[in-house]
Amino acid sequence: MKKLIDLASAVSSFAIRNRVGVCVAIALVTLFFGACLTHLDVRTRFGDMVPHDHPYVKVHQKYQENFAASNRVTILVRSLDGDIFKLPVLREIQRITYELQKVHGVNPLQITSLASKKLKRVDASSEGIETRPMMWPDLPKTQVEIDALRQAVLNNPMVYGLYVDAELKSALIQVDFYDQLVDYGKIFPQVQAILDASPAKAQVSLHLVGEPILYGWVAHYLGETVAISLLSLVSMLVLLFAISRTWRGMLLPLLAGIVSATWALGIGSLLGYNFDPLVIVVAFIITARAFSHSVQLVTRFDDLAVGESIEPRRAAEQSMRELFRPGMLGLYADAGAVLCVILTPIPMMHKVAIIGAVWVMTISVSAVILTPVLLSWVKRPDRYIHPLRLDAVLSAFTKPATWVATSRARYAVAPVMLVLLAGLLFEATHITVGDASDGSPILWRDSPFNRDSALINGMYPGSEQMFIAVEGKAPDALKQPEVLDWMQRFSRYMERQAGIGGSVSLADIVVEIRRNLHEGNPRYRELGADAGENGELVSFYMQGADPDDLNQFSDVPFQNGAVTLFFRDHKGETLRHAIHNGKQFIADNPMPQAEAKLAGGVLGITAAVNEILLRDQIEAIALAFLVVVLCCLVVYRSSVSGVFFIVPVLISNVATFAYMAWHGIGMSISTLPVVALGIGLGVDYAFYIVDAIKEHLEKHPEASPTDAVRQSLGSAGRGVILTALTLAAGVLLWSGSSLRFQAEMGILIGLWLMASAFTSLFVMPSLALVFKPDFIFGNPVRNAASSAENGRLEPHIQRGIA
Amino acid sequence: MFDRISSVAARLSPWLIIGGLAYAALFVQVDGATGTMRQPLAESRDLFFGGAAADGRLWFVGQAGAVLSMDGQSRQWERSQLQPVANLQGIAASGAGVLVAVGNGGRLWVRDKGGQWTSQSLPVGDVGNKLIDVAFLDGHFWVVGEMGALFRADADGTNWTRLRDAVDVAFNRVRPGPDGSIWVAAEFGHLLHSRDGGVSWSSVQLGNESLQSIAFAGEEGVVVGNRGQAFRSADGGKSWQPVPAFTTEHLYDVVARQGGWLVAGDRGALFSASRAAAHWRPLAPEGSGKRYRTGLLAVQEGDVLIGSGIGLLDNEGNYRAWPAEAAR
Repeated sequence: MKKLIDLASAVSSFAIRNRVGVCVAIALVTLFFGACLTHLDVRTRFGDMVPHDHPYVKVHQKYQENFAASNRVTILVRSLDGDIFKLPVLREIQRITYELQKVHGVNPLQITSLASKKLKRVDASSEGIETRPMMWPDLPKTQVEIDALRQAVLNNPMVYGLYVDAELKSALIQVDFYDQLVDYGKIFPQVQAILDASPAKAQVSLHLVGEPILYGWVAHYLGETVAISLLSLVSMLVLLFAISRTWRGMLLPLLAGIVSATWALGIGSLLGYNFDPLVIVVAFIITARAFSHSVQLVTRFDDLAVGESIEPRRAAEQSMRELFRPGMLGLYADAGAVLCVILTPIPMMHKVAIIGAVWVMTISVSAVILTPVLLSWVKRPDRYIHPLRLDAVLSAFTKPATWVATSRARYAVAPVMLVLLAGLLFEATHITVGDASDGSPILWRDSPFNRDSALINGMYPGSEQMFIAVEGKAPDALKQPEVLDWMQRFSRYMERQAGIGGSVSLADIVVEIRRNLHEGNPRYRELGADAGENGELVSFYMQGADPDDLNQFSDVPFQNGAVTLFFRDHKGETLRHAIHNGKQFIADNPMPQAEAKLAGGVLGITAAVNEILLRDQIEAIALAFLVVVLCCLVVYRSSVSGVFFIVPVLISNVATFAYMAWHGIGMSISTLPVVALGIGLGVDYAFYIVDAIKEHLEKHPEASPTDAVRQSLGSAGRGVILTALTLAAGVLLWSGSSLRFQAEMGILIGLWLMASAFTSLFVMPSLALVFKPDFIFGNPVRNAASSAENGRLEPHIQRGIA
Repeated sequence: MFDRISSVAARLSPWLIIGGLAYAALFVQVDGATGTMRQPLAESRDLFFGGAAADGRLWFVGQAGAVLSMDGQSRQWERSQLQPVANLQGIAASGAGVLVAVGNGGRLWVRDKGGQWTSQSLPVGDVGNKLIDVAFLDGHFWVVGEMGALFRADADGTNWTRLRDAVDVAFNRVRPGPDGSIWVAAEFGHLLHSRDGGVSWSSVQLGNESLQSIAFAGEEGVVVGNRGQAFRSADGGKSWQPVPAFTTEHLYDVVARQGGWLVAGDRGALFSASRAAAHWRPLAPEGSGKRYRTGLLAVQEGDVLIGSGIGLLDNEGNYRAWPAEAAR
C-alpha cells in the first residue's frame, strides 16, 4: 500500500512539475493517433462474427463454397394485381436480375430467378428429360408462351413454392456475393437504387432482405448514428456545464474522453481493426469511464481549491495523488475485466477486448494525469460561469444516500439488497440466448426490412438457411437409395418444427426427375430402386444443365451433399430446437454409407455463436470478478475487499440481464460487446466512494466512520451522481435511434450506469458501516471507540471483519 | 466464534462466487431439448393417393406408409405408419369393414375387423411391381398395378389370385360398372372390362394416352386420362365418345356426384360437369392450391380431394383443408 502511495506521490509531483512537457507529449501522441484515424475502417465484417473453432463453423467453412450462402440477398417481386404471369411483371423480374450483375461484389453465377439460367423447365419426352431455362435469355412473347411458362413453374417443385409462391402472386430473386468482396455499405445502396429505378411501380411492389441488406441498413444509418453521438455528447456537456458551473467541469471530462478515444481508435487503426458501426454505443461505455474519472478529479479539486482554499497547483497535485489509487484500481479492474472477453472465440470479441482494454488504460493518461495537470493552471477556482446553482440536483441523491448510511436504515440495506438481487436474478434467468423476437433485433419491428422479412417468410418457406452436410464414405455415395432416403426422412422430420418452412436436397431433384420420366405422375415421385437408377436420373437432369447447377446439393463426385433447411425466423429458441432435433435424428438414424454433420450457412454460424454465448458470458463475468478480487488483493491486501467490491458489479450485471429478459432483448452476437464491456462498469464508482472513506480516515484518524462516509458521499458521491446522471442522459438519447439495437443498448447502458451509481451511493456506504471491514476502517479498537462515540452500532458488528 | 466464522466466510466468499460462476461456465448449457417431435397429422411433404370410407371412418393412404383416418362422428384424426414402410397407393374397404391398402413392391396390408394390420406380398416381378389401386367390388377385393397386375381376393382380404399374366401395361384404376361389370383404366389408352366377375376380359382402345380413372353413374360413364383427355359413355360402356378438350392437364380421377361429375388432376386441375359431361367448368375453390390431386372420394358432405394434402370440397363449393392443422 505504501509503495502505491509513494508511486502516486511521485507521479503526481512529476506531472505537475513538468506540466508543460506532459501536455505537449500528450498532444503530440494524440495528434499522431488522430492522423491514424483517417485510415479507420468503419464497417461490419461477417467474418468477425464467426467462432472459427466451433464444429458447426468448421462444417460451414469446409462446404461454404458450394452449400452456403453467407451473403445472400433476396428480392421479392410481388404483383399488385393478380399473378406474376404478365409481361410487365416478368420484364421487371428480368430487369432486376440483369441489373444485379452490376452490383459490387456480386457472384454473377449465383443470381437465381425466373430470368436467370439457373431455374429450369424440366420436360420429359420419349428421348428423355429436357431441361432448359425458365425465362432465359428471352421473355415469353405471346400469351401461349406465358401460359407455358406458368405450367413449367407449376410443374417444378424446385421452383414452385421456392421461387414462385403458392398463389403465383410473387417471385423471388436471390443473389449471392463473394465473401472477400462483400461491402455492405455498397451493396445496399446499389441494390436499393435498382429497385428505386423500377419502371413497373404500378404493377409490382418490391421487397428486400438478407444479411448484406441488414448491415447495409446499419451503414445507411451511420450518419444518424454520428448525429445522435454528437447530440449525446452535447447534452452531456451541457449537463456538466450546468451542474459544475465551470468551464473546467465541462471541458476537462470532454478532453479526457476525446484523448482516450483518439488514442484507442488510432491504435485500433494501426492494428488493422475495423470499427463496426453497431458497436458505436460501446464507445460510450468507455467514454463514460473517462468522464467518470475526470469528473472525480475535478470534483476533488473543487473540494480542495474552493472548499479548503488550497492553492490550485497544490490542489491539483493533491487531487491526483489522492485519487491515483482508486482511479488506477478502477482502471486496472475495468481493463482486466474487458480483456477477459478475449477468451470468447469470436474475432469481433477479440478486437473489442483488445481495443476496449487499451481504451480503458488510456484513461490513466487522459484523465488520471491530464485532468489534474490542466487543473493546475486554473487561476480562480472559485469563479463560476453562471449563477444557477444546481447542487440541489446532486444533493437530492447524496443526502438520502447519506441518511440511509448514517441512520438505522443501513441495517435494512443488506436484506433489501439480497431480496432485490434474488428477484432480479430470477428474472435474469429468463434471458433468451440468441435473438428473442422475429425479424432482426437490430432494426425496429416496423422497419421496412423486418416488414419485408415477415412478408417473405409468410409467403415462402423462409428467407434464412442452415445446411446439414452429408459426407459420403466413397464417391457416388449420394446416389445410394439409403442415403437419399435418409435425406428425405431428415427433411420430413425437421419440417415438423414450426420455425422451419421447408428444405431441399439432392433427393428432391431425383424424385422430381423420376416423376417427370413417368409422364409427370406423382405416384412416381419417389427414389430409384438402386444407385444405378438414381445416377441415371441425375444424369437426365444434367442434360442441358450447367455444371454448377447441382452445386447447392452435391459436390462433383456425388460424395458430399447437403440438406438445406429454410427458417422462418432465427430466434435463439428456434435454432436450439433445430440443432437438438437434427442431432437427435442423426443419432437415431445412422447411415453406413455416409455421415451427417451439423450445421452450416448463416444460421449454422448463428447457432454456433448462440451455443458459446452463455458459457462465455458467464466465463467472462467469473473472470471479471476474479480480476476485481485480485486487484483488491493487491491494493488492499484483503480478500474481503474482493467480495465487497463484487457487490456493485453483481447488482449492475444482474439488473441489466433482468432488464434484457424483461424487455425481450436476447443475448446475441450484437449485444455481446456491450454486455461484455459493461461487466466491470459498476466497480469504479464503488472504488471512489470507498477509497474516499478510507482516505478521510487516513487523513483524520480521529474522525468517526460515519463522518468519513458523510465526507465521502459529499465529495466522491457528488462526482459519482454527476457522472452517472450526465452519461445516462446522454446515452438515453440513443432511444430515438432508427436502429432498435442502438436504442436498446443506449437504454441498457443508461440503466447500467444508474444501477452502478445507486449501488455505490446507497449500498456500499451502508455495507461499509454495518460490516466495518478492516481494509477500510483499520483496526477494530478504533472502530469500537468510534462506534461508542456515536453509540448507534450493534455490539456484535462493532468488531468488524478482517 | 461467530466472528471467526463470519471472518472466514467473508474471506472465502469471493472465491466461492468465482468458483460457482466458473462451474456454471463449464457445465451450464441452454437446453434446446423438446423431446422427440411428435408426428403431426399433416406434413408439408405429404403425398396421398387413395381414400376409402369404412365403419364411419374415412381412410387415406400415401407415401412413406402414411395412413390418416378420421372418425366421421367426432372428427378426430389419427395418423399411423404401416410397416414395413413403403409408399401406399390405394385403399379400399369391404362392407364388413375390412380394409386393404396396396403399395410399392407388390406389398399389401389387410386390416381385419379387430383393427390389426397385416402385411403380405403378392407375386409380382422385380421391376414394375407397384400395386396402384384397390377396390371392393362384388364381394371381392380387386387390386391392379404395374405390368398388368390384376389380383382378386376374398372379402376378408385372403386368397389372392392373379387373374392375368404380366404385360407391360400399367393398370391404373379398377372401378365398378353397371350390372356388376368391372372396369380397369390402363396405360396407353387401354380400357378393360369384365362382365363375368373377372373370368373373361374385353379391351377397348381409347386413344394412346394413359387412362387414369373411370366412373359410372347408372349407364353413364366417364373415363379420364393424361393430357386432359376424357371420354363418356351413355350406354353402360358399350360405346365411348371423346369429350371436347377442356384442359391439357393430366386428369387422375373422376367421381360421380349429385347430378354430374367431378374430375381432378395435375396442378390443381379441378372440373365439374353435368351428367351429360358435355360442358366442363373449372373450379378453383379458395385455399385448394395448385398442386396435384390423384384421388377423389365422394362423401355425404361433398367430395374429398386427395393429393398433396387432403381437403373437403363441400356441396356448396367451399374448400376446407383436412385435418385443420394442414391449413398452416
